[in-house]
Amino acid sequence: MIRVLLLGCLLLIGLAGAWYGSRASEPPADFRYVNPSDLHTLDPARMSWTPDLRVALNVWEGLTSYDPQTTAPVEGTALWPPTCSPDRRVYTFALRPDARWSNGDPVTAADFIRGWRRAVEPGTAADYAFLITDYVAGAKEYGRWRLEGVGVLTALSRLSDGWRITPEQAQALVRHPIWRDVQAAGGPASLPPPAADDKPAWDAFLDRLTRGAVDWRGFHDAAFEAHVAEMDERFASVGLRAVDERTLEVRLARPCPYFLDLTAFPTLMPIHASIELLRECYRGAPLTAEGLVAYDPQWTKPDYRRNGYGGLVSNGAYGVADWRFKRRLRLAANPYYHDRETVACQTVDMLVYPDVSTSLLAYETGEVDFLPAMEVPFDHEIARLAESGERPDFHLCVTLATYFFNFNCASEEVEGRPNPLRDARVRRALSLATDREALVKRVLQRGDRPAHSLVPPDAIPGYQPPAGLRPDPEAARRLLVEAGYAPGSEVPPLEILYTPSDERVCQALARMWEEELGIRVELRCKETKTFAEDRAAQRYLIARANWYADYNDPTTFLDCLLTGNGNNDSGYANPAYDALLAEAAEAADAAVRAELLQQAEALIVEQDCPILPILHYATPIAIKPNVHGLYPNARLVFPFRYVRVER
Amino acid sequence: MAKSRRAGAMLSRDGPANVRAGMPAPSAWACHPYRRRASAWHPGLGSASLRLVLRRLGWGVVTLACVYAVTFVMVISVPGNPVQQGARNLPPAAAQALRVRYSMDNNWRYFGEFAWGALRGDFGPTFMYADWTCNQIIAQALPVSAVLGVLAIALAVLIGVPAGVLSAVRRDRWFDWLTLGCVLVGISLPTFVTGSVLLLVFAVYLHVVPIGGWGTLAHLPLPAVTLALPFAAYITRLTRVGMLDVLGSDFIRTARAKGLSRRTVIWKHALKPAALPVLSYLGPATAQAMTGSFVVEKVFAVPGLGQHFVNAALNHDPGLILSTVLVLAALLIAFNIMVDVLYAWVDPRIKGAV
Amino acid sequence: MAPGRMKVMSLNSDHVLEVHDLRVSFAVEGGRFLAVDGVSWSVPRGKTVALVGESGCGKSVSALTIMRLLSEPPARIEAGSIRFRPEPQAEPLELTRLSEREMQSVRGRRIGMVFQEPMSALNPVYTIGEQLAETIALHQGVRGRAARDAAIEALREVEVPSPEQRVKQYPHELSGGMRQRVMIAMALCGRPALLLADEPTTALDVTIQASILDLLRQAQVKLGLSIVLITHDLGVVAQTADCVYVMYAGTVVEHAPTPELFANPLHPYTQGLLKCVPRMGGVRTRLEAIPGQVPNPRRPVAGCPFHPRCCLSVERAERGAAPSIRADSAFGERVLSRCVEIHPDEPSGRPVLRQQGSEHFVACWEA
Repeated sequence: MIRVLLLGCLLLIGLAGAWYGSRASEPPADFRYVNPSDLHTLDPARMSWTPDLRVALNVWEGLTSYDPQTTAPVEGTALWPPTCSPDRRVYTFALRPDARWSNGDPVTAADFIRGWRRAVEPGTAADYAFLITDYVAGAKEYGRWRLEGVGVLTALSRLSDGWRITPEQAQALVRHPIWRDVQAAGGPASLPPPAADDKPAWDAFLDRLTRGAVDWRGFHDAAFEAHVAEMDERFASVGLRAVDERTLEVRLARPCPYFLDLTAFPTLMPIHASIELLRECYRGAPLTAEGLVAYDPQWTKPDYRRNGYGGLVSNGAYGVADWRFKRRLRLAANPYYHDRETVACQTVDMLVYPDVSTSLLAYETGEVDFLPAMEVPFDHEIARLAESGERPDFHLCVTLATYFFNFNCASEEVEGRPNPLRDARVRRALSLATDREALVKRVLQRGDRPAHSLVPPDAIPGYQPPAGLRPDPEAARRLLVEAGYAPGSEVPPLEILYTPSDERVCQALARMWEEELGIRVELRCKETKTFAEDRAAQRYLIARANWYADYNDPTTFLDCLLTGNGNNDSGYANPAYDALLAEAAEAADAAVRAELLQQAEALIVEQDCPILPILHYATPIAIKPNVHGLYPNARLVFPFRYVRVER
Repeated sequence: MAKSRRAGAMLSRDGPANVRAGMPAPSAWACHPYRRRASAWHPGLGSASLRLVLRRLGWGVVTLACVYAVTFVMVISVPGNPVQQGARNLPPAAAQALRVRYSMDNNWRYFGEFAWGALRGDFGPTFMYADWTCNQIIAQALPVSAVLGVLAIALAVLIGVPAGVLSAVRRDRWFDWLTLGCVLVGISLPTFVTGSVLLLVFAVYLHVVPIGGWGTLAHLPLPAVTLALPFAAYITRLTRVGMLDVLGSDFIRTARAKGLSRRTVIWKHALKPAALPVLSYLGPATAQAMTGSFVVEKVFAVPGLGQHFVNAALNHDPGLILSTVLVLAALLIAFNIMVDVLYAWVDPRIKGAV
Repeated sequence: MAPGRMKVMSLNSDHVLEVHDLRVSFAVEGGRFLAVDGVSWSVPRGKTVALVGESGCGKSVSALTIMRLLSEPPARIEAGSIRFRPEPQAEPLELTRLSEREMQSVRGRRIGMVFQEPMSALNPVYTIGEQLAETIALHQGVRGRAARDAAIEALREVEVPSPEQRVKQYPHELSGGMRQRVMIAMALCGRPALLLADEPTTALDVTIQASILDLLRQAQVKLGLSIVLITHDLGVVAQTADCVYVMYAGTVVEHAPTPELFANPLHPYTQGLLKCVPRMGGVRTRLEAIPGQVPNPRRPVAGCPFHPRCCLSVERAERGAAPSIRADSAFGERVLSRCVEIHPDEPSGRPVLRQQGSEHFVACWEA
């Protein structure tokens, strides 16, 4: 009997071996690189993670594209340079006559409009939708109108299913024109809604809404039809127009000197018409019951077939040949790409290695050619090898990104404790007491650059950030006394909220502040998701943060601290700052603009200090010596069509 | 089996008398219809096994439902917004609309819809990797984990059982001490240490296998061996203890007295009863090997189910958490049932008792 | 032979087994102790020899030593020889010197053994048929279907009813008596010359006991089998044995043909044993027992091993017929000093077997 078991085991092993042995192993790709986790999405409008963006830049091509060395915008699908109106608000892009999709179709202006419209739709949940809504005329209003419609349609849809809606939804519903029809129909829902803060009355009202015999389905469908009918009309007021098949005219809400940088970004890439085959429809109209624009998420797969869809179609230098989840993404050169002769690597593999040490081993043995990230525990060793030149294939990319700490500038109290950071003097004192050189050189030893400003210096052409605050513990102590915290009435204990990877920095900071200023500092570590929630809800005193530049302009950093900005986690609100940035937005002269932005940044880093800049990242990457065409750059942009691998 | 005992006892009392009378005595039990049908295949099987399987399956379904309910409660209690996967905050109306679209705005609704979908085999979307559905992820990852797990267990049995037997037979000699030492190391060393060492030695220094990945024959041995080691160590211990226990039994003495060779006595007569604890360990061990290989999958870049299990939890992705938990629980239950049936088949004394 | 003469072992070709001065020791914490201390007995061809004694007297150890089934590291044959002559004309095999491989060819094929606990002596996870067929295949060289049929035949021979059903059953589905029959079938299928039966009926009830013994007798007649029957039950001895060896504390204290032993027990131990057997009818008096306990082999008794429980020695000491000495005895305070001291004739102090009648040997100073 045991013989049977053992024979069975041997048989299993033999079978497995035979099966795997019989699979013909595919030829290796011309160029292979590593991604620590698989892509979160291949949808260019929805992506926000750098590895995804890296793939999108190779699979699609926007109106412009990035230069591989300087990351300045260069020619893309549109002819260079595009024409710009004298008031710098209207750009006209003429598409190349030889621009084609991977199935041979020509790229048209309508494809771009489709892609941009999709990005601003609420159903897409695009992180970077603001790149369009903030700049293209009418896009923000369109987005807001759509959002209102979606809110109302969602509420009506829930009511027709018999579920209760939230008070916010009910308030939005009441403000909508359809409410007049509801009231006109009579019945229990026709009574007027109660006052905003009368909670019991609201509960009763919501109950009446749910239980009342109202034909919500009818109202929903009516509102739906009305919304759909109005949609195209509304969109027509957005500043996007296809002058003809190959010409796209974009009207901006205000002048934007870096607009051509934005047009290279994946959010603004074109989408092929075949995606419409996968659109979700409700009652024949191209929206879901909640009013969202939604497509089958499988549209990004090269082998997806449904409803006549033929798989992913893209217009970049590469197309997606094969995507095996958590294993490999294989890109194949696009045979219809306009510069296909210059593309040296016909196949590119993105391999997924969850363990960074294993990927480093794979690099060392030559199984991969390029490591775009090396977040290993021994990163100081990597930095040393790179800086000393012992390993010429390791590069420390000076990156357009800053690591800093947010101070909570707004809340009176955080979880029952008083917030001393509302006083700018306290914040400035903390900044003066921080020795960034020591943090970077002795604590982290990763080759980063100490940061005294929010925007990295020597990075953006035409702009230099202010000098910032150098360490001065004496001045810091004087400031504290000035703020009213003399010995005797000490500053209450400060709590730093951070994620597990920031352990060393936070301990060093706590030590520095305790030694120089005598402030007691507590450390609280939380895992990433809960940390993000706490930070967004301002349930912290001091919290770590970082920011990667989205485009090559200081405003990508400085806009975060505008009053009410979605990413303003510190709650900083300074009308003077807002005014400076608004003035800079309207400034015609580049030098004047740079001056204004510098003044605004000086407010941030030298006076009010709502944030505490610590360092500018230096990302270690590894490029094999026989790989040409990949250049370390500040935006970590690596177009593969310039890559040539010598074997 | 009380019937047979009674019939047998009756017969043996009357035995010689009946035989002398020339009349064969009928055995009531031996003529029983169930008995005859079952013994057509194998003396060990019978309707009892069928009833056993059905009963276990019933309880398995109940267990799955409880697992689902408990996991669901945990998933909705954890803070986090699954529809928001990016860094920036969604406008509330959009977030609400998305939640409605995925039936997640109301917990009861989500509970029911997910369960209904799961029964039909559709686990819904995952928010972490927006382009894939849970079905696709599990369909791609489960075969990988299954192959790796089964291979690892097969290796563990092939290594562990003979080592345990030899160690018991050569008790207190150098082989025994060596084996016990290896067992201690195998159980204590974590898999990321053994995996990394094996990777360094075989992939980096010796270049025999590729550095991780999956898809060809060469990718199989290293992760399978790493995963097999702790199980092999435990199986060695179990076998050794079982063998030591059995080797002192009376029936082993009978077997030797029959003149059977030492090899036959050990490998045929002693091993089968001694292997029963190993068998009952194999069920949960196989399920564990198939699903709990997170570290091995990470170190060797094997696209299996273990890492989805962990990453889904870290990313607060409810659909993927629930579907992986259900799949893993179903696997575990299935393997336990299989082992129970196998146990009854192997040890005829247990058959009636279950 | 003159009375009192020591029994000398003779190499008789008519004996199938001859045990001469066997000493077997076991290793324990702190040293070794002798379980079998110089026993000699022989088995005439075709006859049944009984080894009788209380638990712990070394009879099972003797049988296991013959089959070399004791694990050699803890157990060790210190001295002695076991000569086995399967055929009258063949050279005798010295069993104490055979290697394991050689013993394997002897076990089952030439010497069969039946054990005490049929409950646990069969492998519970294999069917009766599988175990029988395995033995048959080993000794008779048939395989597969033929072995199965031979197994059914063997069961029929031992009078197991409906053997076709039985071969598919497991040991736990059979009664004790049935299992013992199977054991006997397995032991006999190699057609051995000698069968060692270690308390074959002790675990069975009395009615089945008779049928088992009957079976053994039939087999002896049919196959010319010599049987060594180890038992503590004198009733069984009376029924089946041709001659009896009474053992006590690892030595043989009396040896006689069965009728002679029962008619004229000479050793006080044998007398005590016979008095223990309850008899039907007669006046109901208190059951007799031999007081005291079997000595602990780790602490051997000086002189005659039986003297602490010997009524004869105490009686004679009380009568003052010979010098006596104070000693621990279950019957009285003084025993004959001859029974305790080192005797000049026998340095070990233990009495040797002396012939007291034709074929009747006793090891007692006073018998």
